[in-house]
Amino acid sequence: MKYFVTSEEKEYTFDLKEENGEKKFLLNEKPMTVDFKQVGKKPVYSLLVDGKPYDVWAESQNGHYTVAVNGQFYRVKVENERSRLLKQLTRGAESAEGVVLLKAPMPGLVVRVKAEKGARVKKGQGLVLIEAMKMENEIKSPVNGVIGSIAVKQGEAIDKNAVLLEINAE
Amino acid sequence: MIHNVLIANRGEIAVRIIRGCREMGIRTVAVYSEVDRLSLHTRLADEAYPIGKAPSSESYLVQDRIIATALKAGADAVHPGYGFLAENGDFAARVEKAGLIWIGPPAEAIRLMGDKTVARQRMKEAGVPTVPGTLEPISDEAEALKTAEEIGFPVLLKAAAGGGGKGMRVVSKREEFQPALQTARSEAKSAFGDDRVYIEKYLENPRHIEFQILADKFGHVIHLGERECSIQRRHQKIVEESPSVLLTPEMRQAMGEAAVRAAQACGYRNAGTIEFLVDKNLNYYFLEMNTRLQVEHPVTEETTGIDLVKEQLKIASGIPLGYSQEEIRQTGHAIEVRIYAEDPANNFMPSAGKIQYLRPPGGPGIREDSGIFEDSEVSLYYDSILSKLIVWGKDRNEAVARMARALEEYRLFGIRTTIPFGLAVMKNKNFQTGHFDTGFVEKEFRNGSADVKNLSQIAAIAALLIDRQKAASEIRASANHHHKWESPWKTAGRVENMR
Repeated sequence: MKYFVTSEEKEYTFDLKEENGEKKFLLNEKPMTVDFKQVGKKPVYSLLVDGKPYDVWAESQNGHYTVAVNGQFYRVKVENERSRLLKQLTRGAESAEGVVLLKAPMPGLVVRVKAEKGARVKKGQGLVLIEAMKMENEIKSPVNGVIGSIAVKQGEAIDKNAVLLEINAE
Repeated sequence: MIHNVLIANRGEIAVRIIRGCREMGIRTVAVYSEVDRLSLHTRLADEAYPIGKAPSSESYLVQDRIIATALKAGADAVHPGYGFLAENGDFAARVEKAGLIWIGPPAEAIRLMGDKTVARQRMKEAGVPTVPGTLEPISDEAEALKTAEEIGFPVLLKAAAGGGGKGMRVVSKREEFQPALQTARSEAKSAFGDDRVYIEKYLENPRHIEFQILADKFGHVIHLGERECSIQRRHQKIVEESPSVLLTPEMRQAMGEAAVRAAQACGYRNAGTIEFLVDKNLNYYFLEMNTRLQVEHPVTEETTGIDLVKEQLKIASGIPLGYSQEEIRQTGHAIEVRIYAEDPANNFMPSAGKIQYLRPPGGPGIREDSGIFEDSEVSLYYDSILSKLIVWGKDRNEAVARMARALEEYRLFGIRTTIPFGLAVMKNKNFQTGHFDTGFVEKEFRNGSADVKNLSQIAAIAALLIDRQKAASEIRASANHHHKWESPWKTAGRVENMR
């Protein structure tokens, strides 16, 4: 079975097969040896790749994995031949790029909303200022687009992942 | 001698103070907010009492409740740690009025050093170099502009009651002066309730070098050498070391003597720190005095062998200093890296949550002053410092290599931390060769820090294996089979067969 794994915009093609009772793990058609053991009951794993050890932590959310290797974080998506095919077939049916929800990366207090409904914003532009741990943090637009509805107001306490506002991506 | 200390703080510093007390046979009383019931300081102290809700304004800053708890628990002294009430002269005075010993400087010294213009005047009188500028707050705008031109742009407007970069404005030319003055004043007013602002020459990317001092109540003042703290983000120190690569023995002696004069000039007692800025021509200027134990005090402890918390307790008990200046020796090299709950790849955004996995480094030359443990919750209510990793080496090269090794070993999963950032600093050529100043982080890590994302392939392999294992256990659960753990290869086949 072939798997397509996207890790921080880089795609890797893996093949897992068993031939004559022998397990094979291929990355881009090249065989490699991997071993992997969970550490207790935590989402922590010890990985040996061609003899080199790594400590890995992973969390899955909405079909993506957030993977920490040693201290570095990666956003990873795993697809197989079938799920990829399915996605290609349904892609046309989905609405265009559509609405992007800007969510709070942490709980805190809304200090200021820096954009108005209908405003055109650029990717990377600061939209909402949230105070947490005695510091102000600017939440930036992930896309170019137009501000739709705004769900929070100044002075409001918010939870992690609370929707702050909508952006109609362009 | 003091025999029972209430610690008006939390986190790693409360733990640090408990450890010092315990080694001296002194009892400790911890106070904790609602969210700190399971925190390390609550569980390590001899006694612990609740003092209110999570926000510090309803717990760690409530002076009445802290003093009442100290009296109720039979404490005879209060240690404020750093932050919270540590530099509040009124609190120091109230503690003493309640008949308790304040483990810190006299209230008047805290107040004097808290007012930046008064401190500057006093330093100048004591022959301690200050940054060129006004010694009085600005009263007349036209006059102030004239002064700014005499000093020469760029100048810095600073709040007299200030600290932490609030009410501070850089003015690079004449036309910007008037509007900048207004913003600085209104910021100072809202942050400190005091709109007095003064002018200083703006030093571009100086180095930040500070001196630790100790003063007893018999008028003996000594310094314990310097700490280099130029590696900062958001005007906050993140890597500190001792000694500084910049200082010659002559400069160290001159600055150390100036630090001692500064402490004497304000009638100082207990442990304190004189911060200096050093410009490109190696001129040094008094910046401010921190009238408390510093976050980065361990690098001094490691190089001098002197336990600063124990010295604080002895001084507060009225015992004379056990060292003369000549007996202080700096040996080897120490570095501290602060581990914050922040995401260095995302502009140091705070990261709260549960620490799911923790495996700190060990081995030769490693010290960790930490307030965390596995399964501890990192709350958004307080400063985001988790831990301080400190290493000692026989020289700077060994210390840098050791710190890099320790940070590579460090495993902390569940939240994001500045560990990869600390590692990137240790691996930076300019850091390794000592070529840096307070502009270092901005210059070297402009495009997000520590983005050495060379493990993306490993992350991909891990995610695939975890994904397959998850699929396998879902099948097992749905089929209600009680198989042992299966290899991802078998399950890969099985999952496919089921579709």
